[in-house]
Amino acid sequence: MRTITPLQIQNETAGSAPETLRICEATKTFGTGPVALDKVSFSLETGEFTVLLGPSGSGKSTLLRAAVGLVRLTSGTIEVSPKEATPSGKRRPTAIGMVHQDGSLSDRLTAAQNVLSAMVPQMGWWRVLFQAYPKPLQDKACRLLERVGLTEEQANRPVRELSGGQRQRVGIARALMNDPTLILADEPVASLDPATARKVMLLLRETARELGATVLCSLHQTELACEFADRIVVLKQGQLIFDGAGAGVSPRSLAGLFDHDSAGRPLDLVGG
Amino acid sequence: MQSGSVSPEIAHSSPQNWALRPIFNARTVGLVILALLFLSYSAHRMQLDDLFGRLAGMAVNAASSGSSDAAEASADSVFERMFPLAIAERTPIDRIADFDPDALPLFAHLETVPDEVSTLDPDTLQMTTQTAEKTVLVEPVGYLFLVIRKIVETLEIALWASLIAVIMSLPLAWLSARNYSPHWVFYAAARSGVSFLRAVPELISALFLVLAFGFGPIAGILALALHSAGFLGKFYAEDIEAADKRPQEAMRAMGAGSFATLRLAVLPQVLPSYAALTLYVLDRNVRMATVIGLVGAGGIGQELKGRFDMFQYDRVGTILLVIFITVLLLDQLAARIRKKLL
Ligand SMILES: Nc1ncnc2c1ncn2[C@@H]1O[C@H](COP(=O)(O)OP(=O)(O)O)[C@@H](O)[C@H]1O
Ligand SMILES: [Mg+2]
Repeated sequence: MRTITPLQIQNETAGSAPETLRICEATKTFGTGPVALDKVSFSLETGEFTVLLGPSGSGKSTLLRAAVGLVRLTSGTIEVSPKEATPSGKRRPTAIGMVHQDGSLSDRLTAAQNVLSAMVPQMGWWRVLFQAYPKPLQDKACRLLERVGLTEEQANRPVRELSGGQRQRVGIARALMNDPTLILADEPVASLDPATARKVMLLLRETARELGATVLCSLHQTELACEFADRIVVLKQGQLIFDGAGAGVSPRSLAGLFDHDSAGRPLDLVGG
Repeated sequence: MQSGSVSPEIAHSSPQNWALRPIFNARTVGLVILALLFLSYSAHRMQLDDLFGRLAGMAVNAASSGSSDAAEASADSVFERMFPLAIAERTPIDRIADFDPDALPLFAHLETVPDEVSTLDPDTLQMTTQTAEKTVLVEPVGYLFLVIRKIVETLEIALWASLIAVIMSLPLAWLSARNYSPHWVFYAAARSGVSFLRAVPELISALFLVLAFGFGPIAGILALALHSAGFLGKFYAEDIEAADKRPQEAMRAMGAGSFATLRLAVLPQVLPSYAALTLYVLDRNVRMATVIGLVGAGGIGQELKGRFDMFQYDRVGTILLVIFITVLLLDQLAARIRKKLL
């Protein structure tokens, strides 16, 4: 393994700003497999755009999923201020918006219906059954869809008929629907071409900024991480190996952190 | 994935030395031979070899136009006696209660036909045959109409059976889908219930239901509905289990409950498949509804059985033709609906 000289691992930032997500010794082992998360600790600061960087299989999804209760931690806690979300994994505050990789939208529902589905925890069963959302919510969904760059015609199309980039825009609109103070994004641009990926990342950062929301966004592309992150946290094989400001970090030096796997073969041969 | 899982020998041996899996080996050959042996044994038990012999015999007979044996003769004559098909209905007017010659049904007319009545003379103990006049009401397409009415009744049986089956199987599917069942007790109960329903053939349950509800469509509807509910319950549940997990997880992550998740992330996915399954069940129920009439559970089958038992093969022929045309038309309709949905 390479040694990391130009970058140093920072300790937890002792900032005065209120935290929105505090991860404390998060550990996860799936069955008898290797550890997916190994005592990961860090906290987010309000309004910051933090990128969770790491190669495939480094535990990014596991960490984000644990934060919304989709995965139960083996040990450790993830606190979403002010309420606790895990390890009991029961209820999470609704003020988290999550953007997933492609495929997380309901294919046959329209873009607008997908965005509105974020409101179902607050809806009665008959409204859910008939997808009869109150008019103010419908207006809000339309505003959001317009904000992320969709037309009225596209808003009424089943999302399977939209392009990959448009689908991710719908996903962002869905995540923004319940006015989140914290947005978690799990490789939101993994399935997109580089140009579209940049646009979608830009949109994510801008919309989050408009809301004043804190963002934790996982990525595997070092260039995007350097371009968009206020702060970068690097995971490798479940361990936090770097935590530092996004400014002043070069993609090359970041890539050096996880360019080689344990067998010593270049990553690009293995594929993602 | 870690590249370390690829073992170095395989990764570095030259392609000429690679051993690819053969398409079949000694084991497959052995299994095929065993299967063939079983089939030939079973064919003997089912008298299939006998069937081939008889088919060959019939071909020889037909070629030499010689006399055929009794069984074949009767089958031939049944087929011959189907034609001409019975389309009209002729009813002697003295058998119609409150007959009013001034108010005949549409297109009907009266005919006077000679009627031979044989009576036994009690004194001489001789049969005497007298020829009398008899008036019959002739409805030119009367029997065809009756058959069509019966077909409509059959379709109604199938429709209601399918509707009840869908309504029954939706909750069954929810309880027997592993990832949505509220508790394993419900899961186990629903799974075995569904298997049981599917395991009982319609004809058998119709026999019992006719005992409970009497002759008529109710027994037929219930018999078909129970079996179809077993079928749909199983396949609806499997569709739920196989549905793409990613939209469901997204809903869960937003804090949606299982009802909302089922409605918004599962139902839209499985709906086309549900529609196809339901159409298949409807299609099958139409065919089965004609069959269960044979045990008295209403519909065209009941008419068919009655006429068959009375040796009225011309009417049997009409019934078979109408069934055939109906099934054909429904097939076309189902194909169109399916095309629209998928
Ligand atoms: N549901 C699961 N069951 C078993 N192992 C899992 C599961 N989810 C993830 N893993 C394992 O945990 C590790 C981290 O996976 P993941 O968090 O998806 O990584 P990333 O999102 O960074 O690609 C991987 O080794 C993966 O195989
Ligand atoms: Mg991942």
